[in-house]
Amino acid sequence: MDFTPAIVAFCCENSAYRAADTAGARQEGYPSNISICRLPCSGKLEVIHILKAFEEGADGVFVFACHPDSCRFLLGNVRAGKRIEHTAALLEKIGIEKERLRFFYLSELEWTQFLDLVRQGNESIKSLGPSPIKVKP
Amino acid sequence: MKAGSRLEKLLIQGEFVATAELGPPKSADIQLIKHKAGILRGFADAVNITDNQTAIVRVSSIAAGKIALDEGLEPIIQMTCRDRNRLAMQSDILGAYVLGLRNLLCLSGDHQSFGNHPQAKNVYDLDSIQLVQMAKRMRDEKVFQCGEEIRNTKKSDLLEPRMFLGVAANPFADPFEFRVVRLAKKIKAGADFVQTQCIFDLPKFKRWMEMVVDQGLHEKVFILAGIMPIKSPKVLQYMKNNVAGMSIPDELIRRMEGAKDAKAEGVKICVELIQAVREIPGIRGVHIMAVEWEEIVPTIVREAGLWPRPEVAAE
Amino acid sequence: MIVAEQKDIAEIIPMTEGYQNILVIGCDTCVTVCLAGGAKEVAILACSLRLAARARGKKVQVDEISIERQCEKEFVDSLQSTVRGHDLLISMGCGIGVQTIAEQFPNLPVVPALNTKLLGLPERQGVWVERCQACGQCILDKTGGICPISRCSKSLLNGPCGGSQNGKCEINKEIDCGWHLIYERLKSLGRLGCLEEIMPAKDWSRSRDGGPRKVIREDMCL
Repeated sequence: MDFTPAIVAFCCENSAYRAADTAGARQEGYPSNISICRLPCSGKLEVIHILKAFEEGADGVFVFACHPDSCRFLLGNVRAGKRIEHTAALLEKIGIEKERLRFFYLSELEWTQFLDLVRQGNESIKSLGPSPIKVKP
Repeated sequence: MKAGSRLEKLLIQGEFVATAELGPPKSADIQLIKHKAGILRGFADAVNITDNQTAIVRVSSIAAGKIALDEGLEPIIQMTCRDRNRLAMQSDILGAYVLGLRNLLCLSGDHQSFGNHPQAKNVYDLDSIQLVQMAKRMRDEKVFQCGEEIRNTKKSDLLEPRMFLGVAANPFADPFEFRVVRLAKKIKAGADFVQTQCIFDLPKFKRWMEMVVDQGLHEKVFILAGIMPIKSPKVLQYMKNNVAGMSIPDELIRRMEGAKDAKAEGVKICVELIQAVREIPGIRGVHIMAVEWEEIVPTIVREAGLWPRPEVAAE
Repeated sequence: MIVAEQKDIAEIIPMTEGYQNILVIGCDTCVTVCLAGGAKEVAILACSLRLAARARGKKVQVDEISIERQCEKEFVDSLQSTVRGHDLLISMGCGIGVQTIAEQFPNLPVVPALNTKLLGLPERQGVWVERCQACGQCILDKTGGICPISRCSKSLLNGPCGGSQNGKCEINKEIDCGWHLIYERLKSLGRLGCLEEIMPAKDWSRSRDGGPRKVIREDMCL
């Protein structure tokens, strides 16, 4: 099946966004079907943003937060983690596989990890296929 | 003489009384009630008939009590506040009385979340203290809780139910200092006798009794010490971990664990406790709570030197 | 405040079966504060319903709006034009809000998205606890400001019962024994004597037991 998933990656500008920047500047780069969305802090992300991403056609949503105890706003990454958990459970009930929503901790220096995570994530979303809301029964 | 029940007469006569418990069956098993009554007959001065104990549905206390009465026992009807409002309570008190029952133990009752119908509506129209107060007023002032006289018409005779009233007391619940105040309140409300929660922690019980005697409460109410025979150390451990309001010393559990015959050791501990509480000033009897082990009561009563049971003195 | 909790979306989705034009209505007062039915929650529920429908190969129009308070007819009335064109209203208000909307729009089905749970306050972020049962006859002056009707599992007036241990209720170790709290409070106020008085049987007819209640201020009725 040749399917290119549409993936939105919400990146905290204090960590993953910078790592993505570094990765993007390298020759390998990250897959072009990943759209980066910049957040001032992962804690800025709300449940509705994730749902809207799926509503507008995302097949997968990745969220990158700073490592535990490294959030410059102290609890932003904790809030993000809680919201992801909540949204994942909600997605299952709606009929969208919770595996389409991924949450990762990252620091700004970990650009190779960013590449790995995004590539692995991309593959797993590919194997899940298009989002159920796009599939005609 | 308030109610003229056999239990009351024995206590007034100065006897050291022994009461026991009969748990009604979870089905319409009249034979089991008769069987249990048969075991206890002659070994207890009065027998508590439990009321949906631990919020599990069983034959009602009054129904089982009537059967027990017919089998030659002196029943103590138990009434909790959990399942009935004041109308049902007064109606049941009248009903119990016309059936010949004369002793009533007033309890708050275990919350229904413990039992087999946790979704039931919680009644608690009255609490146990208000229930005692109401039952006492029915007996002594001959009025219902609403103030109306207990008579059929304005011209008929007053025909009030006369119950000997009991309450439970828990020396092991918290706050400890308040427990004696609460007992005083129950006495003020009208309690004639008290059965305590089962005792495993003798020192704590003695401390409570000292406070009780200090307040002179032992002269205002007949206090019966609750004793429960234990079959196995697991039961003790379970109660220690899961049952609120109990104080169980670890040495007791260890003693049961070390015993070759747990049941025999349990009986031995029970008898020792009975003999110990008999020495405590203010104790007028024991209440043997052999829950679902009624068969052991005759053994305990005999080994504790409480057999034969006394007769009510001829008038 | 009134504290409510969202129903599981698995319970809400079947309520929407057969409807094509749904309006989800939020409330900006109590249910916003307890994070159950405010504008944010309306957006999430509406989007979830659209997604759930699409995941089942269906299409449904789900619109969103939130009003100041669903328990006042004037505010609900302001929805007159908005409700037009919809065949189902989902109220994210408390039970009062749902009923007020139903009364104002008797020809439109209204369903509740929340379970109204209790009268209480937030103990800490994300945790709301019960404090009042609206029994109609407040006795907080006698119990040091702690309510035995709502905080004692048995609503005893002469507690505690024999199941009080270490200040906790027999039914659940996480629940404080209401009477233990009352005892400690009266002790610190030097008013333990209060507890020696027997509180008489409660007049439950002032509570819900007496039938649906009404409060009237004659001086305010024009």
